Amino acid sequence: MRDFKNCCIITLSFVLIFAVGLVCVIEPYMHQEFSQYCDINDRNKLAGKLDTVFIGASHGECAFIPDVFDVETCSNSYNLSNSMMNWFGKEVLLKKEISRNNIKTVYLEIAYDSLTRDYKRAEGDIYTIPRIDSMPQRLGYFFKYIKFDEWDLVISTYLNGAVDYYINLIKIKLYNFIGKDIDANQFSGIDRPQKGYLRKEESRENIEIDTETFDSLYNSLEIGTEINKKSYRNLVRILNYLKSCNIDVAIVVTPLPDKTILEYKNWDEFKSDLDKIETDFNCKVFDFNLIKDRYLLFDDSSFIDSGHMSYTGAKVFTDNFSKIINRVNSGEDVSSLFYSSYEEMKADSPYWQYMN
Amino acid sequence: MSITSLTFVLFIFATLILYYVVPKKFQWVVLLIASTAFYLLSSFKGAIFVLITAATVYGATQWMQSISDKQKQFLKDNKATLSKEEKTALKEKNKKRRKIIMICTLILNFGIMCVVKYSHFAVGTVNSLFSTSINNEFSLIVPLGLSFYTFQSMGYLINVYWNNYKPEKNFLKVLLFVSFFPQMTQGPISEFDQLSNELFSEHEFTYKNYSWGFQRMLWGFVKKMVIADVMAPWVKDVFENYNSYAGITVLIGAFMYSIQIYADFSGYMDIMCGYCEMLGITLAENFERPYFSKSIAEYWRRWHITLGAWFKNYIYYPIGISKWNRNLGKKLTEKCGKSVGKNLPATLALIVVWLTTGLWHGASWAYVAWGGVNGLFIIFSMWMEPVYAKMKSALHINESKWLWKAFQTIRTFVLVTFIKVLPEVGTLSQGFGLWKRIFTACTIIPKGFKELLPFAGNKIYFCVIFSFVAVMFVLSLLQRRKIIRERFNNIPVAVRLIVLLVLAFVIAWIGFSSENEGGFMYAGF
Repeated sequence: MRDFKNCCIITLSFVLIFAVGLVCVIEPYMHQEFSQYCDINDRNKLAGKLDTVFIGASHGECAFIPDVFDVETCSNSYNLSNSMMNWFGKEVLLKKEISRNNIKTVYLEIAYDSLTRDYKRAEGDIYTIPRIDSMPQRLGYFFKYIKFDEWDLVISTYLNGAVDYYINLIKIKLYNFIGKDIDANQFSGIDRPQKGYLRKEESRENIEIDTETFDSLYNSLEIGTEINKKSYRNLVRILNYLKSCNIDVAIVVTPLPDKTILEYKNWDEFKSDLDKIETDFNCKVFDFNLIKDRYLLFDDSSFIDSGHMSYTGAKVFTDNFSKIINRVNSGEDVSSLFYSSYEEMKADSPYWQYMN
Repeated sequence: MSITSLTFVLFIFATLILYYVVPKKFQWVVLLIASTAFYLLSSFKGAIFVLITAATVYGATQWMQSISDKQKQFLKDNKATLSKEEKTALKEKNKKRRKIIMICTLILNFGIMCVVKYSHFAVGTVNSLFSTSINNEFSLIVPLGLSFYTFQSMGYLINVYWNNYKPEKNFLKVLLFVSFFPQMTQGPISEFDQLSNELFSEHEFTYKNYSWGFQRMLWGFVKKMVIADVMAPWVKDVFENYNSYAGITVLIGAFMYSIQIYADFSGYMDIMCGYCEMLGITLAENFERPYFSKSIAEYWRRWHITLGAWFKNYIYYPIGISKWNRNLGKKLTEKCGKSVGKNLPATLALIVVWLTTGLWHGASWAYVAWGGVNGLFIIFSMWMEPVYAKMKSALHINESKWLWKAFQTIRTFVLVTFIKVLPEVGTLSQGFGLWKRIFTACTIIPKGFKELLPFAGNKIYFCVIFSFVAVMFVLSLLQRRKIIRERFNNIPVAVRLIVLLVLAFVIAWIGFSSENEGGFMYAGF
């Protein structure tokens, strides 16, 4: 029995030493700037100065350009979105920025599957965790929100990043040692984001919609309508929290390409979910798929794929969005700028001829 | 439940703790509960098949034993009254009855295995041969470890029929023997008398068993997750696109496949044998440095040892020593000489063994051909043995010289690799296509690492993986003298701890992120 107890202690010690070793190896990686999502330093520099926050998943990450918004609205904003960000991530990052800034408005990006998808894989958490600025809080998030069967994915992602980081550090040191000039930025792999926004590639396949392609794609897919109870609970918690902090919140649906709009058949069910949120929580909803000028404002060059905006598109969108916000803030009713339903929008579209 | 997942690691350690906490006489019960839980979590619907096998084997063995017991008692009671002819007749009758029970049980269980595993293959073959269009889209539940537990159970049944040992009276113990989870998915295929001693005896916890078993398990995870799982997508890339690669690249891909399958299968064995060692249970070994074999026959005595033993004990020997085969051997010896009289009966047995081995490995003609090619090499070597001996004598080849041994080892490795890849590429023609590409594209010289190994990612990563491959082969060589584990456990504990931590770190860094989803290559059998 004594042997057994000693072995239990030794095994637990081994696991503890291993865990501590992992944290020590990964921790420096969390503070470096080789990754788009390691923006702790960027946000620390802006602490106390921000008054507006955009937060959402990848659609929001690609659509809101704070620099454009700030010029138009005289604000100081930050795009807190990251790809696949789940509701826990949104809550944690929002609370952090609200605690150290005088945030007046939060724009919450919601896509057609934000409330219906099942957040099974930890991908969004992988991007969110490095943005939490203290190691105990990161560990707390890891143990609280990452499922046990996803631990290996999360740990290996950071370890891979950390190993690459150390290899690059060694390369830089070696280059410096032999007296060769080296631009450390060449190892970053990507450019640094500006206030949370990173410019996206502008190339996209030009998909011409004619009668042939139209027939195969029109109403071929269905948006999931069953709201994930957990996601909805988390959304309600965020909205209530923002309300308790006297922060204005608006829900924004970023534009999607025509092909995506035409593919899904039950958009108005998604819209009715948003209308209910608008009524229940007294928050504005701006669905930019329903903006009346959408066919003038956005074309294929505005998107990089079926859901995400390119830099060109994001500039146009953010500019228009900020102008609408200015009009709203000055007390104007902007509802006439939007269609009242997706059916109305589609009927007014250049594709109505194919629909009929 | 994936065996390389954290959930499985948690599961086995929970089982280990429970195993040593309960009174020793209930240790086997803990293993039964754990095996049941493992199977239900991994393959809920397939559990019924395991139950059918366990129940039919238990019922059949008990029935056969009761016939033997009743016969024994009857003969004892009527010793004076029965004549010799009556006793012989009774024994013959009971032997026949026992044989019928055994055959029916074999047909039932192998029948289930054949239907579940080979029905698509059979229907596809009939459709191709007779141009019929029988529906081949039906889906069947394939129970986890079907081939392994079926063979293991049938071995037990046959041994009871042969009166090698008495059957187990406790059905739950038979169920544990059939469903013991460490060997469920990929073996080893154990004999009941050996495994029951291990499973049902009481085990005291010892530090040595625990630490040695833990080390072996960790090394198994390295082989599986760091070597096999990382190489899997590389090999897949080569096999799917061999026509666009240089011959040398395809050849390297083929060698990587040999390394991958060894690391995958032996890694699994190390994980499970290591875990069983922690429980104080010794499982049969399945590998003995197979890639250092000097002939194909020797290779198959060192690769998947327990499967080879099963085919030898239950197919080769029964055919080899059967009356008709012995009579055939006698007649051939009289007419054609000793060599033919000895080799031809063995050849017939080997043909059956190798075609069924091929079929066991996969339900396709490519696998049957693979088995046939292996058998062909072994049969050919058997017949050519006197000729080889004369050639070696004429050429003054000293078989004890290292150069000759190295030649034999490399030759065997290359042959085994070429044979191995045949069914893995897809169809038989694709397998031959890959062989052809190696030779026809040998004039294409890749320029640089990226062209030579375009699938391998960056150089550093590749070097790390291959350094572990080198370590794997060096360790297996050192283990030949059975010194490596003893030597490792004699080094200071702090150094050992660092080595184990480094291995754990490498598993977390490379192993957790490999593209393979944790499946084992032999788990589909």
